[in-house]
Amino acid sequence: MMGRQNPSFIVLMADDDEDDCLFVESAFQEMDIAHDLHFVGDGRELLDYLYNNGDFADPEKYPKPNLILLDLHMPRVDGLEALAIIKSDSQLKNIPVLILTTSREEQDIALAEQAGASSFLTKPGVFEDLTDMLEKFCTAIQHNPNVPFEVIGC
Amino acid sequence: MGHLQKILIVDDKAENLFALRQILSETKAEIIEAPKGNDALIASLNHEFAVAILDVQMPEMSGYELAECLRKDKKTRHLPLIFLSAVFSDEYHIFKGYEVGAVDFIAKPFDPRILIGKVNIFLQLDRQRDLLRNARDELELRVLERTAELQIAYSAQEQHSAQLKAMNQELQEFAFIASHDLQEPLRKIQTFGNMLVRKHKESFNPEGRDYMERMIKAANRMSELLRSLLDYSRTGTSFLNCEHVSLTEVARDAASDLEILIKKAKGSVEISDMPTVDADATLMRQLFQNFIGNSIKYRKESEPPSVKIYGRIEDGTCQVMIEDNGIGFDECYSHKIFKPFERLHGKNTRYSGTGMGLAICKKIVNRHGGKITVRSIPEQGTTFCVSLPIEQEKGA
Repeated sequence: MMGRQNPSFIVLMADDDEDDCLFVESAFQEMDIAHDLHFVGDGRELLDYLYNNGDFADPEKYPKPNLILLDLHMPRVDGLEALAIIKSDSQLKNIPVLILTTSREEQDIALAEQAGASSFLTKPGVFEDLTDMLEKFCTAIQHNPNVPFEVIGC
Repeated sequence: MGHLQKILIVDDKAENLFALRQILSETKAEIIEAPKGNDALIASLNHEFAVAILDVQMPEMSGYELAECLRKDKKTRHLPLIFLSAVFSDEYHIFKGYEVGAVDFIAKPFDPRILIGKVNIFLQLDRQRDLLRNARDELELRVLERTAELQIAYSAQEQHSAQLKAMNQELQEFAFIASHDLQEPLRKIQTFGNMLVRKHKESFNPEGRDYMERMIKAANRMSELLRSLLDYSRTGTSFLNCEHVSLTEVARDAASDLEILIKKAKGSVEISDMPTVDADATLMRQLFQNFIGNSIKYRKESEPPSVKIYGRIEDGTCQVMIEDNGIGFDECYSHKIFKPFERLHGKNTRYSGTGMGLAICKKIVNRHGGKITVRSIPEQGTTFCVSLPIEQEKGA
């Protein structure tokens, strides 16, 4: 987990895949964006974090994120289920959610858009591409959190 | 034919009945007597007669009146009748109007041999009719049996075909899941390889860097193959959404999808007017994309690629031709080019690819119930011919 910088762009990534967390962490390190990156392993932990439940009770340590990176296929509570809960909560629904997944299925894309995801990023096989895509997206939502839905990296 | 034949004799005079019985005894048929027309009608309800011998002159009901009654009844409509009479008046002609079945007339006094002769003929006829009826019943039974057998065989076949369909579906889904799930670890090999080159290139000597690059290239290639496999299996599993599709329009759309590729190759795609058929528009577009892409890829170096697409309705099916001036191939490989992962060119030639394009074309055409054939001459060009049904069954 990253040390926090101020003023920082707080990113919360929900993914059960440690390698993907590592890729995103490395990508953020290469970006020119002051950031504070947090990780949770599934949808359930994501919600606990957002509501400061249980292990995530300390709001200082677990601040509200400016961006959620959300994997679709996770144990316990999956990405779409978590997304539905986030978007139905008036306190949370304005947080941009970027879907970060291996899937490039039309159906997953459609469901994510319907559920209120900001955009849909298919994890690329080239590290530079991941860095570029994330940087572009983060820069865009820092200017305007309501970016039009886009499918990135297909 | 087991049963005893029966003869009905009707006469109001007991001595006549007696005489008839004597004469007919040699026929071995059972004789049923009726002294009156009414008795005869009642007897006809209880017995199956092979022939009836009627006296014409009887009180209450004459032989002709009795015959008329017998003819009206379904059961006795075809009963052969022999009339016995001293005189055959005009009544006989009146009766003729009702004549349906076999009828004969014998004038009294009669020669017993004549009566026996006529009765025997009717008995013979009755036996034959019986045989015929039995044969027909037998035939009907056999037809029923055979129909039942066929139905069983048919439903077994239906079941078999449903099983095959389910297995095929399962296999398609397996290919889909396998290619999808294999992408995941592969992507990591690619990304880690990528990061290694990017961040730690300096710690490798030239040989190490060469290995690394080859490894990444192989991983990229595998990713390409998996993606093709995924596309291929998706073509087989997706729901066929058929509507009226103008082939001209989808071919144009496909060409515009590939505009950059075509321009880069300085190629031209000429699309003539084609019929409208029932088809899945997305798959048709993919079909033309793959064909055009194929023609552009396998172009000759010496001249710009030119693709001509045209079609017409012929013998109730839609024939579409995709004709190019490319490098062509030896037709002895025709059976290979539509198979997944089959390629006629080495990996390191300029004709790179996964060998899935035409396999997908074939699958798309098959799913529409069509056929695909190819003619090709090396160094001259290739023509694909796709025949598609004009209409699709609903819910296919």
